[in-house]
Amino acid sequence: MPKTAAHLSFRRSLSITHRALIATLFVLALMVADARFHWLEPLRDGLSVFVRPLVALGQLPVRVWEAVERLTLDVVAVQQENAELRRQLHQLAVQAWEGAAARRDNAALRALLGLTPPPHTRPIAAEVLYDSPDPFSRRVVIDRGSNHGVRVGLAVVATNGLVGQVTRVQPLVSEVTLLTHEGMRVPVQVPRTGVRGILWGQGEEWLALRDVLGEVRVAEGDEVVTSGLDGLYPPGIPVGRVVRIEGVGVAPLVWVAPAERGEQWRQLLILERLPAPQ
Amino acid sequence: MDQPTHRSRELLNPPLRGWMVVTLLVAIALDLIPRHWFGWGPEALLLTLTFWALRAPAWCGVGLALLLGLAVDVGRGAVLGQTALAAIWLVWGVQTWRPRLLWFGPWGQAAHLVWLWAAVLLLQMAVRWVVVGEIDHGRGYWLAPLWMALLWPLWHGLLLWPQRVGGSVSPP
Repeated sequence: MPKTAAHLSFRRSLSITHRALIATLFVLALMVADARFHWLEPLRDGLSVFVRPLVALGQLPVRVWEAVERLTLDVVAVQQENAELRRQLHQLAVQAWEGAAARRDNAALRALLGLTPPPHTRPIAAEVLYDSPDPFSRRVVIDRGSNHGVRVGLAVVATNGLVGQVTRVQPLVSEVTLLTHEGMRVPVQVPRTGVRGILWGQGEEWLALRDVLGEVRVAEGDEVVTSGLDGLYPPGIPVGRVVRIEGVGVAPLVWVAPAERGEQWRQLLILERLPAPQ
Repeated sequence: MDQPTHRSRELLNPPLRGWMVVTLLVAIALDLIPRHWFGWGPEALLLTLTFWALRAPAWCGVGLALLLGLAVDVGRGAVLGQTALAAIWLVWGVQTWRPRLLWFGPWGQAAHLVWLWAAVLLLQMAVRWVVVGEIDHGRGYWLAPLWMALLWPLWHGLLLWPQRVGGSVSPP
């Protein structure tokens, strides 16, 4: 009876347009709170408990694909790759000995001059679990988290240079934002001339060198490495190579092709920059 | 339940709530597949919400769109609310356009809906640009509405399947 009465009364609920507008205000507030102020991490962690089974379900095709890949493993190709890797390992061992000798010399000279010892790094090996399904971001999720000593802000590298930065950490996994993500910034230096500036991610595969300090002495083909001025990235990690210079004068736009494409590696290395030992 | 389509003489059972829940959950899982392999594909949640807003408007409203959009954002690690925003205005568009859409067959509906999907993706990108300050998007982002239009007849048939009775009525 009450149901019928309610049905017969002319009680009106909000129209769908009003509901959509109210929901939009709510969503806009969420987006601002999340993207601008990062207030919603606890909410995100809480909700992720409910979404995790669906995430696992979504990754099922990838896991199946990997299993098929393992089944159809080409032994000859793996042996060839193994031999190539061993050759590279020997070359790297020689470079490591030379590096160790240089570091000893450097430490001795710095001690003579009374300089503080240089910072060193601690590596954490990680494997890429999957890349982010968000169309707007260039990120990968790796299998190392706060339990393994990963912190927000650490540099992530691969064979040819810098890949990105850890931007979100959970106990068992963390999220790495790639260099090319729009809005990523890296303080860099051009070793040939000593020019310093800041690289901005531009999406796709481009980086732009902006905010160059002093006169812009940069030419096409110049190597660009991290300057280490932020105190986060270790200095001297290759970032890319100058490919194009647009405009002249005080503030030209310098385009840099990244040395490393983060999407193509399964194994990555997280570098923690430790303070100099006293 | 009357089906105000001029061409369908098919008898349909009322929509099943359990089937709606299952299809929406599967759609979210499809949206969470890492896209590295094939670039950017269709937005499964938007596709499925379109169907339910069209076929069961009393169940599939703004609130449900908001909730499921947030679930996708959490699963993707995206800015909270970006997918929810697209889903809300999608449901609004479908429900507003519903009397017209139901007159068309699946391909005719797809031809209408492709603009709606493109519009909500444009809205999503524009709001992200204003709020987050980033405009970069995946390479296949604008192909998503086309994918969805091509998939719509198949998806529509699949989701409608449990409601099919098998008989047909003759026109009055």
